[in-house]
Amino acid sequence: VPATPTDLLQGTLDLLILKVLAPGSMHGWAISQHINRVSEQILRVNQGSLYPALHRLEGQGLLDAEWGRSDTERRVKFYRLTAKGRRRLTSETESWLQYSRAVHLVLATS
Amino acid sequence: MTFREMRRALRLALTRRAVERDFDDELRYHLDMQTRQNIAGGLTPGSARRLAEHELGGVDRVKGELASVHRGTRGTVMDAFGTDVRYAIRGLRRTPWFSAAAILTLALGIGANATMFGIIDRLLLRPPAHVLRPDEIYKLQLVRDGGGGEPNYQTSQSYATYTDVRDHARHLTSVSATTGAQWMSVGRGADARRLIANRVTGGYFGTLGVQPQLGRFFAPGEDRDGAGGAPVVVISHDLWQREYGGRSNALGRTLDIGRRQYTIVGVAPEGFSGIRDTPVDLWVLYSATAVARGAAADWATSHDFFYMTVLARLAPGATLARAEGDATAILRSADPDMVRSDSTARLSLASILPRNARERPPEARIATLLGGVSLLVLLIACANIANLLLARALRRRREIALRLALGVSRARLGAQLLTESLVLAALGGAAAILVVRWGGSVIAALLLDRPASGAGGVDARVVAVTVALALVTGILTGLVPAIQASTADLTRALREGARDGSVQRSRTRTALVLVQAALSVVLLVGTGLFVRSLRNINAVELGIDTRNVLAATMDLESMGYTPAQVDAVFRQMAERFATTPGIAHVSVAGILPFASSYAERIAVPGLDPLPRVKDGGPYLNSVGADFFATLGTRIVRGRPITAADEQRHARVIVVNETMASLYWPGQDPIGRCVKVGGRDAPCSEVIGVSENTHRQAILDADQILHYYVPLELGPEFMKSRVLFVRPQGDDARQMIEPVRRMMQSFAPNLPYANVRVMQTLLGSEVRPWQLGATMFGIFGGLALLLAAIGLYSVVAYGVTQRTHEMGVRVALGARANDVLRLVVVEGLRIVLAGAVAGLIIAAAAGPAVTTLLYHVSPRDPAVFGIVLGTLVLVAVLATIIPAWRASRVDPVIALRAD
Repeated sequence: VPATPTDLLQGTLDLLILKVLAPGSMHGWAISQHINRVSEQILRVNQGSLYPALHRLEGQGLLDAEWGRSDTERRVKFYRLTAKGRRRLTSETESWLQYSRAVHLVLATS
Repeated sequence: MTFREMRRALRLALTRRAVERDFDDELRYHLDMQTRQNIAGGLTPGSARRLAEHELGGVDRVKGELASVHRGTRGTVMDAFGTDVRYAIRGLRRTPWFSAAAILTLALGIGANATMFGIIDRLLLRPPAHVLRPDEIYKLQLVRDGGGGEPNYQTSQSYATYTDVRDHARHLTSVSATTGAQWMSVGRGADARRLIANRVTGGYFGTLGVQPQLGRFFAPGEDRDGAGGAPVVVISHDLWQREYGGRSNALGRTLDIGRRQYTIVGVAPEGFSGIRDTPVDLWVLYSATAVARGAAADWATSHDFFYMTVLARLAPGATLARAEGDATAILRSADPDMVRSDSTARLSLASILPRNARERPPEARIATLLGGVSLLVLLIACANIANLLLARALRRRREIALRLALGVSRARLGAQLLTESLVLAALGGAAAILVVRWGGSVIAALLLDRPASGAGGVDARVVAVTVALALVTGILTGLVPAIQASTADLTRALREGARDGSVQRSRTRTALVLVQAALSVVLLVGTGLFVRSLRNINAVELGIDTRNVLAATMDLESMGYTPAQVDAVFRQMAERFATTPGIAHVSVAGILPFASSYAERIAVPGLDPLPRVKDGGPYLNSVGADFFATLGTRIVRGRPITAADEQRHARVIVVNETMASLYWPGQDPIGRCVKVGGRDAPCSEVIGVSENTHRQAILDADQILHYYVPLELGPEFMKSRVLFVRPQGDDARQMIEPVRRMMQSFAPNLPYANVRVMQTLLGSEVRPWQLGATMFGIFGGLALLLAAIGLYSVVAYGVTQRTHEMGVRVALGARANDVLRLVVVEGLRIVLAGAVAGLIIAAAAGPAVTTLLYHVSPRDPAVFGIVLGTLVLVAVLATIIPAWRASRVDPVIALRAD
């Protein structure tokens, strides 16, 4: 386990958000906590770029958002995948795995 | 629009404040949760909050980023436009022939309009350059009874009226005067050239409020009314560049004008030409040149010679009415003779701006007419492009239906088609700028006597008009296809495929062709009327062979030659030319016909009073030997004035036919006595009768009294001389330069020899018809071509759509000729309907142009007939190829297709 958390690669954050939202809707804070948790804190989400990414994905029609109530009865914004977002998740996951397999192959042989 | 799109649109429409509140809520929740987590981790509440904010990277920065993300989504409309433009360009590149034809059509249509706008702008709209508040400058007009209660306005005033008003008017300020621009001989001998001069009074530049580019304008004290002005000259920016390379040492240099040297004291700003658009090379004081250029000794005080345009501004607090009353009172007290001859005589003030003029100059009227005509051409071009776009849209019906089925909104599809026509129009507009650059100078040269530098060029105003025209054109042409696409019947289009254009659409296209045909007919009728007018006016018998005679003048008087010396020089030149090869006849006279004419009192024994005609007169010319043969004026009875008459100083006279028949009806005029100079003058014997000649213009009085005396017997005021040369062959133009060079080198230090074909004296009179015929011809031809293309495309399209039907017909026994006739007749029906509509429009609009025609009825049956015939011929030509193709349909192939 590396001593310092790794910063996310460009564009990876979008993929992670889509993946995290696959099971259902979540608000921003929960998304950031979830990514930290499942990545065993190796990947640290830059909170400053999380919200712009969410809004951008929403603008592209990959996410849908609506306002709801949190556990503490506060007004929070919940995001969930659209059909288009789900398709994008499938294709992006595919190409990401392909990419990482290729990188792994190169690193293993040399 | 899907539900989600609608919601987004709604959200975008939310106020900015609500959007910001959303950002706040979302981010604050995050911060609160993070702070709570940090406190749970053992931090104090204050540092927990700060750490949370640090980790988020600044609330304001993130909010800024969110805002920019949202601006990005709002930009999708622009994104879509960009996509549409790229799509349109791809589409146009796929069909290069269609695109080229469309862009060319638009370039010509838009270019013609932008060109005409540039000229109308110059003639009517734009105020004179460098003039300060030109709308506040007025020119004096002398208003007299023009007969029948109609007032006659006269812009030329006497110099005395100028000084009267300048010195006494209390409601006018900054009074000055100017003559019209005129050619002036500058320099001597080989250096002699003619420049356009404007003779003005000392305050001229002050009235106009113009500032010099270099040096100064006329100083107080240099202009001294009757006492003669200082020999100083202001040159134009153009002349400064041309002859002095724009160097400041031009100041202080001199120009030879007449006998004196004029010192250059200043340079006018670039483009300044006074209150008119015609260019001026130099300005001199009227008082400095008056006597040298032949003015009478009392030119400054006489109220009898009218040649100055008097300019002034209203004095502070003055009204137009009071200033006019003031000026009229001054005129009445200073010029009692005027009041005696016409008690209604008064002075009025008129704006110097052409757009405020009571009567617009003919070139402005023609330019306006041609502007309207060019709009017609653009309309035809629009109809054509719309037609072609429609045909394209029809061919792409399957594609369009497919895209509709895939969920592209009709609005988006319409926008896309509109974008396509806008792209076309933008390209056409860009090409139109080239048309303006080329066509502008051609038309300006045709329309304007001496086009100002830059006339008909491309400037910001012309570009703005071009852009506006392109935009309107794009929308006009794209509208029909866009509407049709967005209302297309989806299922039917998919089922029918590309065949069988629906009747509805081909009706629209037929209507467009019909409109084109109608408009072309209107233009062609205009062409015909102007061509006939031009032919009629060129066929007018002037009694002088103006096309084959050169008239040469030289301003020797201003060089100080006495009348006797002037006469001697011209006689010697004539003798030299008489023995020069290539010259058939040469003669000298006192008056140049069409340039000026004079009357002298005469008496005829037994005829008192003399019978008169409306035109006044009788007018005379003093002529040397061989005059009639040189000018091509026939002697119908008796003999002409000869060298022998001159040698024996014979008192002889030749009268024209009108004079002969009026004075001695039914009798032989030969041998009669005419006393030139009045009752006390000696008898001159009538030796011949000449045919009638025009005096001033092509459109001249019906009856003109005219007679000719030997040179030496001409009255004293006819002291200048004109040399007439008739070269052999029929190209007089070719001899201008040789004759000019010979005259110029006849003696050292001569002023500029001005040689021109006599016809050019009439040029400005013929120009309106020439221009009308040329421009209508170009526009009409263009319209006809466009209509032919439109018809061709409609018929050709119809034929491909009906291949199946033709196949059936042929299979059922129709012969090739039957099919051919079927298609051609169908095309002809459209065109004939359009032509009839066009002829009706032309007949209705005709009377509006009557004043611009010459001896042609605006409903001339020959013109109407020829136009109809032309249109039918063109229609047959345009349909014959598709018709031939239809007649060659192989029924087997046709019936198997689809």
